[in-house]
Amino acid sequence: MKSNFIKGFSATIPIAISVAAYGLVLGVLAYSKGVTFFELLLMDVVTFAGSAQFLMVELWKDPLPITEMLFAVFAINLRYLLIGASLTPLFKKSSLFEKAALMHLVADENWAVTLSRLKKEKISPYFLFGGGICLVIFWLISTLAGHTFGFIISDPYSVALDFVIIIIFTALIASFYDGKDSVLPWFVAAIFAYLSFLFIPGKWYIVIGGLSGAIVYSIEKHFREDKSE
Amino acid sequence: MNDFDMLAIVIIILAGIITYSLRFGGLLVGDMLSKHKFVENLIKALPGTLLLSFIVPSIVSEGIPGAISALVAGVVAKKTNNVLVALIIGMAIIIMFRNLL
Repeated sequence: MKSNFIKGFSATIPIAISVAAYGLVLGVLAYSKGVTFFELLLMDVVTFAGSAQFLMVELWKDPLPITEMLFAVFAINLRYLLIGASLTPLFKKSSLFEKAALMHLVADENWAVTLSRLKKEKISPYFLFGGGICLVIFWLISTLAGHTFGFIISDPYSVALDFVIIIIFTALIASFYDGKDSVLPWFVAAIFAYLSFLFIPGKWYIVIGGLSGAIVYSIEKHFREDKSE
Repeated sequence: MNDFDMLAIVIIILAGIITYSLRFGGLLVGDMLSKHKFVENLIKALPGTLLLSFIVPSIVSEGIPGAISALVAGVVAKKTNNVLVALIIGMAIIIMFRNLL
């Protein structure tokens, strides 16, 4: 039997390749904004959150806008509260120390891969951690390569590097499709997310859309179960 | 410039602490929350709805090509169970739209 760490690591490689494309773009951007190699390296390891790092790099100027930056990081990463909560079943048997140690390398990508695998088979938190290690390796190499060799990519737009993550997420969302039960919650999530995106600054639309869709799902389930009893 | 550099390091570390607290905090709060059926369903539905909310604005701003590419990628992923195949097909569609049309 392969260890969960190895299984998680290899299951995350396809998505890590696409994350590397994203990392390359971040590296190029960071270079052009004057973020140093060491600062980018530190960000990769300490923050390890793609969209938050993109935001920080975009806000990077002298003097550094500390409040805006930290609030932006908080807002965009608020979804990690929900991501952490959704991992509860995986960590059911773990000690507090194990939880604390393994949670740092949780990103959208290995989380999504882990949860869709958890629906099919029994896996341990080390599957998630293996995915995290895989991601951090690809993330470091790609962002730092982008920073070093940024001038090579002349036109990221025409090769659609920006759209890679969107397609990847779409493919992952498909794996969470739960038949008819998903239709209404997903519709509500999409509408709320888009409205919040239009009218509420920052990245709140992710949290608002996600929560509203999930609440609809809970209510739906609640009434269905009442009927069947 | 030394002050600027020091501040940069401090900000990056604070950003890391904030992010880690949310990751770990969510797991701790989740422990308490999962005892309720309603909340459990909520947590079950969250992965799909969160990811969907994340991509909706990008797809809308990309217009019809974005919608077609995402839809095809989603269907391919569901049918083949292979993210990489879905990625290649989805990317081919979007690159074609951006460069040829």
